[in-house]
Amino acid sequence: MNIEGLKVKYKDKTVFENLCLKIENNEKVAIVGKSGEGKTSLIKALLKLVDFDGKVTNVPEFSVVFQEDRLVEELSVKENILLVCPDADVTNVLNKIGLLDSERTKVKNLSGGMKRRVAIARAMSKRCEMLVADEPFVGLDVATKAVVTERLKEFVADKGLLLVTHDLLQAYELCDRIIIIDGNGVVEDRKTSEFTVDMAIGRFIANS
Amino acid sequence: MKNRGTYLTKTVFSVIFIAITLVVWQIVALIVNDDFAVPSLLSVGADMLKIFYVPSFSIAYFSTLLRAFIGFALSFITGVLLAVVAKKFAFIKGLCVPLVSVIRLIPTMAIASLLCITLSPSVASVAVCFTVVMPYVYSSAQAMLESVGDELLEMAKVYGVPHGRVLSGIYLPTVKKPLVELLGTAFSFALKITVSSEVVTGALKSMGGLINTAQNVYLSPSLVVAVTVWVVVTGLFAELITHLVATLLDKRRRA
Repeated sequence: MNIEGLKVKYKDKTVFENLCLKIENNEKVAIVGKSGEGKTSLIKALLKLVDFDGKVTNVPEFSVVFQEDRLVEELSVKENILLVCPDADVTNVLNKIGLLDSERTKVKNLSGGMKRRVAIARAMSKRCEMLVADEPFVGLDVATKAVVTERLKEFVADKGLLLVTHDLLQAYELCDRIIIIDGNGVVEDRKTSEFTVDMAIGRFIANS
Repeated sequence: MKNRGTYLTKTVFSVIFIAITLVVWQIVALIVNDDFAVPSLLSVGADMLKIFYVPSFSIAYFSTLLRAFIGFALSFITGVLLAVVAKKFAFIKGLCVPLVSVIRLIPTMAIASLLCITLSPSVASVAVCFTVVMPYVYSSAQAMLESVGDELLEMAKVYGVPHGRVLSGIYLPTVKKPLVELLGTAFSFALKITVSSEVVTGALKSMGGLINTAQNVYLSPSLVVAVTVWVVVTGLFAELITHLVATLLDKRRRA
């Protein structure tokens, strides 16, 4: 996927002036940055949910975990998944993520953490070339987060991953490459193996 | 369990409210002690039973019910369709804002008086019902559709969910319960407006006509109240039925 000269314009704000990125097939990339620096704007541009200038080419087929759960509260867990993916193996995916008992429960009766897992299960139900996950672990307890991380790793083993996160440890665990961005563009772009925690912390301090 | 408790509490409060209203009514009637000014519960109850057995009452009752139903059905279909179109096309929504406001501001009696000049009293009653109830249905339906957030629609777009499934899987489940509830409130509103307009248009074989007769021919306030209570009971019954249907639909999906 190639992003060239990306500029996202809102009514009162412009995010990025000239963002350029190239993401290879099956590459696992973490987008890291402070709140309000354009991480979600980048995702929205890729999903064509906001107007932008620039070119985005060779876009793979996405499945998405949105920052918000975006579930239909009046539908059951199973119905929410079937809504976006009618041929999904719902039992299998819910079993993987520990929600099989809640298959027929209405989403409005679930806890925040369970809703988050349903949103992840929905994304994992769809055949795709790249999973886009915007803060997927928000609201999950430590034990659940560990299980979900393992399931996500399995899911993206043969796919690309674009992970938007504040959590550098998650980025280290799931991604081959970490990109730190601010409102203007890319600040740091390195392979995870070349990226030390000290560097990351240094960047955050420099930006804050 | 929590829902059942809430439902029980609501029912208990409704019964208490009705009981208090009836007690206050009777106390006021006893204090005033003039059936012409404030008819007592007993005389209204007796009149309600008395008119129930009069053949012309059932004719008037069902004629009014039919007019109210026609007005309600036309209003409901038009209001909901208009809300759907307005959701899809912003310019239609823009056009509807002043239109609905103006219609809502025109006094009901003025509409009735104007319409009965050109239309027969029966048709005028239905037309008044439509002009008053349709904007109410439109506004309610529009609010329901707006309650389906853009975030869900964006999700559907990203996942390539077809339009039909967006309608059946996102819109319908979200608006189903309030829409069924709206059926009840819109019908009881339609009934109220129809009876009011029948009083003005002088429609024959109507509850409004009975109110006119009770007031101007029999000079009997208790008879006026008795006819009115029949209208209120019918409206409440419609609301209760739709509320039960909405609750059942909700429970069935949860099961």
